Parts: sequence; C-alpha cells; structure tokens
Amino acid sequence: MRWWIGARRAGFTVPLALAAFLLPLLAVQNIRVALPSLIGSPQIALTLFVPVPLVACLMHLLESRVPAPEDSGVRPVARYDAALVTAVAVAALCCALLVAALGGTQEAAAAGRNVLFLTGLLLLGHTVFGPSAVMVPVAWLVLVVGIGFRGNVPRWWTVVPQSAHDVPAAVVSLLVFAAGLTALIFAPRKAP
Amino acid sequence: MKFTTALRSSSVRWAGPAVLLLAALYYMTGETAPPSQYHHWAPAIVSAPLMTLYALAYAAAAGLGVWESGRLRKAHIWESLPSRSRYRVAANILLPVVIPSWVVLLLPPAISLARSGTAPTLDSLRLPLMGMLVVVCHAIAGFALGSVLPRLIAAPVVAVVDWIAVAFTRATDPYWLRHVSGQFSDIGFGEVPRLVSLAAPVLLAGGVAVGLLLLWLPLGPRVLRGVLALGVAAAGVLGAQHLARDWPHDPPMATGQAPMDCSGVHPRVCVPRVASGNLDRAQREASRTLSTLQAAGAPVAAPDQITDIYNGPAAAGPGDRVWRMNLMTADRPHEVGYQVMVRALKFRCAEVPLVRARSVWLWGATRTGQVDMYQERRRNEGVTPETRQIESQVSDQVRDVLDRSQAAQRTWIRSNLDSCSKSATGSTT
Repeated sequence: MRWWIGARRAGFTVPLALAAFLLPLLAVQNIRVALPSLIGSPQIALTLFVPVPLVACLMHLLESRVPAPEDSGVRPVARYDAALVTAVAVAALCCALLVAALGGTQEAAAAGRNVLFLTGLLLLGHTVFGPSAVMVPVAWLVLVVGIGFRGNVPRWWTVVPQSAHDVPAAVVSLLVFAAGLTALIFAPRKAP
Repeated sequence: MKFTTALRSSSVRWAGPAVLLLAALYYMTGETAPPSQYHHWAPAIVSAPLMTLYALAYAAAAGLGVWESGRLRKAHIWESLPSRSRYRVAANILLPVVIPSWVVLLLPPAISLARSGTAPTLDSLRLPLMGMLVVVCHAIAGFALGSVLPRLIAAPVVAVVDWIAVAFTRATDPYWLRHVSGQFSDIGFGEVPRLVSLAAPVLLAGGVAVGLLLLWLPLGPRVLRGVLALGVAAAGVLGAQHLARDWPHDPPMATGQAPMDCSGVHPRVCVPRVASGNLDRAQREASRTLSTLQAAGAPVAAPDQITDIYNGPAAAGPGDRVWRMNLMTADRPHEVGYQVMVRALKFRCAEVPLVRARSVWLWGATRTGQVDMYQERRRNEGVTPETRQIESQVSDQVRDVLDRSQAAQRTWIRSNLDSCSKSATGSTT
C-alpha cells in the first residue's frame, strides 16, 4: 500500500489536483463568456472548464506507476486506483458543494458534478486509448461548445452545461463515473 | 527521422482525426448561410468558416506540442549525445503536429470555395496564411512548456486555456485583444485585410516563439540568453499591442478591392464584375431618370459616377460627384432608376415631413415612370391604417400637382425641396 501511494506520487499530485480545481473555481465562478460556437455564440460559464486540470492530474496519477511489479504483483492495484480516484473525485465534489453552499453560485455545484462525468469519460477513454485519453474530456468540452447549444440553451446530450438542479444530468454523471470505475478495475490496462 | 516515420509515431495518429472531426462539424451543423450571399468574393468566403476554427487550430497545435515535447523528454532525447541540432529534432517532431492544424485552416475554406464555385485569389489566402504562421508559433510555445511540465497535466490544460484565450477575444471589449490574438472577424464584399492587420497577431505569437527559440541557443551564458529571449518576447507582445491599440472594431481593411466593370458617361455606372450582367440596363435607367428629372425642372446635380455601395471606402468622398448605391442586388428593372430618383431629389433640410417627402418621391416616380417601384417600397415598409391614410393624402396631392402646367410643377418641386417648414406645402400659390 505504501509503495503504491509512493509510486503514484499521490502525496504531491492529489493536493495539486484539488488546488488546481478549487482555485480556478473560486476565481471564475461568476464569469460567463461568449465563445464562438459553430452555431451562434452562446454565453458559456467558464466553470465548464474548471474540472480539466483535475482530471488531467488524475490521469497523471494513474500513469505514474511502476509497470513491472504492478502488472505481475498480487496486490489488487486496480482497486486501489479506483478507490483513490473515487476519493479525489468525491473530495472535489464536496469542495464544489461547499463553495456553492457558502454563498457561491450554482455553477460551482455543477462543476462538482462535471468532475464525476468527465472523470468517468476519462476512465472509459483510458481503457480504449491509454494515457492519450486525457484529451477525451477536452474534446467533449469543445464538442459541447461547438454544437451543444441552441441559442443559450444546452441540448439534452451535453450534460456538462446543464444546471446543478438537473436530475438527468446528475444521474448520467454518476452512471458514467461508475462505468469508468468499473472499466478501470476490470478492463486490462492498455500499454502507453 | 523520415517524415512518414515521424508521422506514424506521432500523437497526430490519434489526435489528427479527432481535430479534423471537430472541424468537420462545421459543415454538418454550422454552415447555414447560403454561399451566394458572398457574391463570389473569395476573401469573404474564406473568412466565414475560419472564424470559428482559428481557436481550434491554435489549441490543437499547442496541446499536441506539449504532448510531443513530453514524449521526447520521457525518451531522454535531450540527454543523448547532441549529434544534431536541437532545433532540427524539434522541427522534426513538430511538423506532424502543425499539419492537422494547417488542414483545419485550409480544408474548410477550400470546401466553401468549391461549394460556391469561386476560384481562390491571392488575397483570399492572407487569412489562412496568417493562421498557419500563428499555428507554428503556438506549437513552439506548447513545445517549450512541454519540456518543463508533466505532459499528462499540461497538454489538456494548455489546450483548453489556449482555446479559451483565443476564442473569447471574438466578442470582447478592448478590441486590440482580438486584433492580436489571431482571431479574425468576417470580411465584407470587396474587403481585404491589410498586411498590417495580419502582422499584429503574427508579431505577438512570433515574438514569444522566437524568444523561446533563443533560450535554446547552444552558445552564450544562460542569463544572457534569458535576457535576450525576454527582450524579444516583450518586444513582440508590446509591439503588437502598440500596433493594434487604437484600431476600431475592425482591423485595417483595404476596401473596394473587387474588380469593377463600368459603362457609359454622365453618369458612369460601375458595378462589381460578378454582378455586371445588368450593368447596361442600370446605366440606361440612371441616365434616363436623371435627364427626365432635369427636363421636368427638378434641381438635380447629376453625378459623374454611380458605383456600388459595398465596394468602396466606407466614408463617401467629398462632394456629390460619386454616388454610392445598392447596385449589386438590384437585379430587377427600375430598382436602380428608383434609387437614383430618390437620391437626385435631394432635400435641403435634414428633417422633412413624411407626407412631403413621399409626395416628392411619388411625383418623381410618376414623371420617370417608376410608380410600381414606389408602391412596392411602400408595401415593403408595411401597410397599416395610418400609412394608408398618409398614402391617400400623398396621392391626392400628387395627382393635383401633375394636373398643373410644367412651370407650376417646376415651382412646386423646387419649393418642396428647398423649404424647411414643418407643414407639407400642398400648393405653391
């Protein structure tokens, strides 16, 4: 367990991940910008992009490994990883909810939910593409900004720009996160 | 390394198709404007799809630059014996990175040009070329970042930050931010961006990129190189800001660049070549309208030239020797003649009572045989009980005027054009 924590460099990366999530969240939670979409230019909350550093750190965490002993060892490393990812994601979600509760905006809570969704996407992509899947959440965000809006109203499939009170988005985020964890535990690792 | 080998081992293998797919979405969902609205003006056709794609191209280049640089670092390339220049190694690895971004900037405009059946011109290549240069600079900046930061964290963060930083300038207030970011707005008919407006973004991105390259010079003390690099980068950034600081919403554009065809004298009528099919008719209508009005006694100062409003400097020249009108879209009979009539009957005062203005125009339209066009204009403005009442007043008055003698009509039109009183002068007696 200790060598695993060490190999993941979790003592450094986890605080970095949470800081890289929380500081931008506090900085931009009230800012909306007009980004050039392919259709019109919707007003988009910058909080949409706040989870990106966090999921990038998660990928860094998962890829900081010692391949030989981990692949041949008997310890259930994949489950440790899943537990670690869950812990970080839940911590980020709690932080976001806390920010939202302490007078922040509902976008902050939505950013917490998006951490779960994008992490799920990241983990699912990880089983298919390996470490380059770190670009999958980015591609999703670009896709959503590009074609995910009708006027200023997000389309149903976009998930991330929905409001924090949107139940389907929350359910989908949880499902995708769970699917990602399952893939992380059971799918064979793809070599980088 | 051979180029094909570099391409095969590069991240472009997976990133290239993804980037191109995102760019292709433009044609699946975004392109709603019919190609005909650009009147075959190639720079405008090229600028329309690029507007949404600059940020994607730059961000892809920067993110992949980070990724590839991290890959080199992970493979301990920089620690191996320097058998060839570092620049050469970097260029080798960055070439496959910039290619998908170049394709993003070239392919959609090419498709747009093909769909509208327009041949590209040299002027229309200015924007894509500017974008391609800026892409290279972004790739270099990404490469530099990737050689110090962990790639798995830095690549997505750099891509997203770069994308937002460029994209948000499209609608932001200090205008110079857009003029230096490499994000361009669309272009109107007959407009070509001046080289100086392309130089600003290239100067900014290029200054930073050259500064980063200088850090790698294999000679001189490190501090000196650092100072030099900082100086070059700062010069680029400040120079670009200085250049674009005072530009208005649109950067400097050369206007009136579309080739024109002209016909006739007094007035000489010029329209862009793409719309020159109706040129002779337009010239006939204009000259007949002007001579009829003059013969009827209206104080008309005929212009030397009538040219299209879209193709020329936005500010009209001094005097009234050149009239700018909507000639390009005037493809039905009397559309040009009617515009000339309205323009020729010039009121001395800025504000004229509605009934008087309408009476003057209806009189002019009747004398020049363009009553149908007058009525069509009124219909297009919308018909309400109020306008119907005004029109009946107008037609009563004009019928009355037209029954009079030539001399009386002449006095009527002159007094109506010159008078500044608020009431409609129904009779001159």
